[in-house]
Amino acid sequence: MTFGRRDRSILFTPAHSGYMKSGQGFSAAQTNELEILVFALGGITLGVDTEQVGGVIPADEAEALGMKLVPFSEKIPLGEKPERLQAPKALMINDVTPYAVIIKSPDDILSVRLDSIRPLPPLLAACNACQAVWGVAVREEGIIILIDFLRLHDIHNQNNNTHLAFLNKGGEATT
Amino acid sequence: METQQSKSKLILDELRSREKREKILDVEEDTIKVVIFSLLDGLYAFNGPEVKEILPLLPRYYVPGSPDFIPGVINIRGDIESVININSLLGLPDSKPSPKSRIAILEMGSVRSGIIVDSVEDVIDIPESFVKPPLTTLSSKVREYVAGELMYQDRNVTLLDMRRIFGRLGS
Repeated sequence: MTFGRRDRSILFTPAHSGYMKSGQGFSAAQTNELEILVFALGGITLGVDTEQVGGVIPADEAEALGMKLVPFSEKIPLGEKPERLQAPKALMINDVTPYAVIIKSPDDILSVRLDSIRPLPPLLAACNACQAVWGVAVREEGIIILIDFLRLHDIHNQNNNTHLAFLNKGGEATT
Repeated sequence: METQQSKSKLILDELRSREKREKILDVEEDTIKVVIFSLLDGLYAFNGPEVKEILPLLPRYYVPGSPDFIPGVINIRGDIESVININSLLGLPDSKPSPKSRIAILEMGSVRSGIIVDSVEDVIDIPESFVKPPLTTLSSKVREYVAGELMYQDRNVTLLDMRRIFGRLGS
């Protein structure tokens, strides 16, 4: 895994080669742990399965590459005024149609035990706006909200089939 | 005069006897347990058996996209439970957290959630007949969530219908 490579094309790549594509034959029996990329936005600690992550590059470079960029807080309300990101990163999502979600920066990569993951409580599981949140990883230091970026993408497609304007709607991010 | 006294005595005896019978009836009447709590200036109650636990305020974690009345989730010994801000459901302004604030964990069927209250005042058993229909002065939005009214220390207490609230929130 590499952060800050000189060519800046990829700031992060999954550690292991031969990674499964998301959803391809994962079985809990195969592993007791899930590797997640952790990042924080709006004071919330969020995590995404590293299998869904194709890489992390500066957002302006992703824009220059013509990649679809989705400001995270535009897809899921973060409960407070979106913070202004000084040097946002584009978290590239492995999908049929690659796209990127704008985040502040990746904070960590953690292995969490499957038995420390809890589903959302019923009242939240019933909430449409929380569809992209699939569970919670419970740790001593606090909890990590687990996001499924493929579901986020589905929500995105449902809500907006037109090409996405990049950022700065409401001054959320600056490249 | 003696006849008059006897009559009054008889009436008083009869009244006492009726009072005793009523007391006996009261004792035999089914009782319900209620947990009385405060929100701002008002007193409210949960149906006792639905309250599984009462906890101090715990660190709360916001879940992106969650509705206004669910300000987050809490970690209870490794289990994650939602927390409801009941003020917003009842059309009340938000309460300020204080050392008396509590989270009551309620469970009905498969749904379990915490409710933030300003303080827990008492847990009492009352005859079912003490619960009166909801006040007609309540707004229709709030009345929907109210099972009835009762008196506690000369104050009116609103008994919430949490089954209906959970049903509405979960739908």
